[in-house]
Amino acid sequence: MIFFRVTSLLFILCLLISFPAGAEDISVDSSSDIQSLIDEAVANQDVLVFEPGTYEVNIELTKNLDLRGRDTTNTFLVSANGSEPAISINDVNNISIRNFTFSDNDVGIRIFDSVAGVDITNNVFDNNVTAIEAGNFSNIDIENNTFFNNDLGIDDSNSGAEIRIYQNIFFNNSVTFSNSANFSITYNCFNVVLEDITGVNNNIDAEVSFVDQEDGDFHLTEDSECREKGETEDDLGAYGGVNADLIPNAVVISGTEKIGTDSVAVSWNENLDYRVEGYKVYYSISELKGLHSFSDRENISFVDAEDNLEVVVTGLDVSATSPEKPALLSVTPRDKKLLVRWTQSEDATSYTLYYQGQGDSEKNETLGAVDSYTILDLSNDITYDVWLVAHFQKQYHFQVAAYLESSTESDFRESSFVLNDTTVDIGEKADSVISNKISARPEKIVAYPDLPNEGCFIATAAFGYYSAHEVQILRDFRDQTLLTTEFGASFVHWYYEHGPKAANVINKYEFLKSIVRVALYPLIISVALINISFTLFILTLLALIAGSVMAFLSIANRNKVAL
Amino acid sequence: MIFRSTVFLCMSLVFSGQLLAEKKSPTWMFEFHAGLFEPELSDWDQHYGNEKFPELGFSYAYRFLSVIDVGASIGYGKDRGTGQLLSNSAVAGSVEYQIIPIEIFALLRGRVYENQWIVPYIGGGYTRFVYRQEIVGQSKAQGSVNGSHVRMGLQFLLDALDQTAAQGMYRRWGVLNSYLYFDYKQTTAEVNDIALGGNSYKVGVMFEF
Repeated sequence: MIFFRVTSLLFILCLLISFPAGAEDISVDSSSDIQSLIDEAVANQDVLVFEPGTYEVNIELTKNLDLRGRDTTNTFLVSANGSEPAISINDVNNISIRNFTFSDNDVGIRIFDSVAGVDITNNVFDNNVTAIEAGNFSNIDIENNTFFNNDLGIDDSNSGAEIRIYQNIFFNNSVTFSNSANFSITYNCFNVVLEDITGVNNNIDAEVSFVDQEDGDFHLTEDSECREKGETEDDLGAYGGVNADLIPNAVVISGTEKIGTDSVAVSWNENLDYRVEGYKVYYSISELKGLHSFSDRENISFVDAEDNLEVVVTGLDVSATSPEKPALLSVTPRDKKLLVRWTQSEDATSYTLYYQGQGDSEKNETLGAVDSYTILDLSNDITYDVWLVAHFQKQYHFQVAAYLESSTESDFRESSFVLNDTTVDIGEKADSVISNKISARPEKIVAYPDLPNEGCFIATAAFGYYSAHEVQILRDFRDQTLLTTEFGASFVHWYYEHGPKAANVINKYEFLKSIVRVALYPLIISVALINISFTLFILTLLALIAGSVMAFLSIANRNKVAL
Repeated sequence: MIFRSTVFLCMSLVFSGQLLAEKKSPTWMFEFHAGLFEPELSDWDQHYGNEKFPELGFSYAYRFLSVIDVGASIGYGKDRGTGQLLSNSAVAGSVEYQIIPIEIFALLRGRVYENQWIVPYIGGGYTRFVYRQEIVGQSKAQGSVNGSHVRMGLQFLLDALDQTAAQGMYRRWGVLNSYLYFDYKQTTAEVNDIALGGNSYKVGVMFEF
């Protein structure tokens, strides 16, 4: 008996081992070498599942595989080499491509010599030159796709392709089909009347009504006339039919408000996808990002807001414990400022940096979770005491997800999260013990060697000080214009040679300063104009010349009349 | 191996004369160089962490009487270091120091016959020493001062090493001779009693047209 059982078990084990492995989902993300994965995948068996993201690719499908996007709205295929298609299929049968958005390509998909079984389902073709290019005896099934704003929807200009076009939406394409002689076109929705197509074979011209076509959300709204117009009352377009993904577009939080001590009101923008039944507000003290699956979310707290667009999340844990005492590491003097560094306390979410000069009142700066800060606008004559207090306050992260009528693990129907979650600081701040104090006096730094600065000597002498605005304009002109040309640079060198002599004379005689200032102003105004724009300077100069000529002619005419 | 290489080198040098003899005498020189500038200031390394900093440049010259080159050159060098506090000279802050020596020079070349493999030279001239110094986050100082320089070095004729390449250079670019040279230069310039000059140790290539 035992022998029989053992033999049976071994026999079953051998059977299991001898059968080939079942179809495998191969996950693809933005770091994957997609062409290598395709080359290594097992034909007729493996499925490449693309995680949400933008993929710059020129995929050549060399074997029978299924390519699927995890989330149609957020899985983009864009050609890496503009003139090449994002996907090329040549002489390969039984291919399935679904749940992608093909955007801004010269050609989205090119299919040649694939004699049977190419299924292109539930994709969005948005703003391509040619969405699908086919020919030479291809046999293609184009089902439940949305074609939006393409120059050409489906191209069979090479003739011969037998194409079944079924339950798609065509909206705002310059040319919908080229050479549709071999097309079987049924149950499609168009936003224009097409002769011999709309009005027959259950093809309609209708009000499509996408959620937000400008922002790439091609889900259908309540008002869409393409809803339930399929053969078995399926929706038309990329989000209808049996293979549609059941993921609404992401929801954006529009506002948060603290209420009382432990509650936050969260509001968001409505998702106009007509299938959306309600919303869940997820919250956590950890970041909420990139969560796409049921298992990702099952341990995160949430409030079911049903079909409301605002909900108050109550009973948040706002308890706070004091962070450990921060240690001030150094206070480094600089000219009229102090550079402060400290060790970050564990759990500190913010700091208050205090400083007080001798005989001065205490001042402070509120800072985030950083470990250094520069205190500015200090006096070089005063010694400052610097110290620090760390704070801890609970911070909650919020995300809102729209859901369809069911969201169990086996049938997960919730939107993905937006890239950046919304954070709210809430509850009392718990303070640490005051850090150690360090005293320091801001101080000027001198370079080695301590070299003199040669400014604009004459202007500095005339305007009295180096940092005068007028002198700065001349310095900018020197640096930005003169020194960029050979002649200008040589002038600057000549000026540095002789300028100081003239400056000495101006410095000696006070009356000369006024004369030089007046004489310099036209130059300074011209230079200021050149610093802004050379064209502006030329225009101003031309206007002045024209004005002068007109004034001269006017005076001359007047004199002539007088004579 | 060494013997074969030596023979090849010697043969190349000997036969190169025949090739080069057909060319006209050069009148213009263009050279570019890179090397190290060693400031004269004694405490340089204490503030900048090294005694020398990189410098590069180029020059253009005209040849008189086959042995005198008169030309101009411009260079650029940059170093980063620290400043010091005004009160107690403690190290503080970071400083960026840049120099642009602009020179007019005359060189006497010890070339006694055409296609001489090694040519010594010596010369000097006027230097306009432009400086720019920035104490990061605080202030900038810039200016220029007159100075002088003397230089000397050795030029090694490269054409003999690869005649095909030399012919190509002549046909394509009009380059009559190419030299590799090693140069030592001493610059003198002062501002407010601060010595800005120093010693330069450079290697460069020179093309004669």
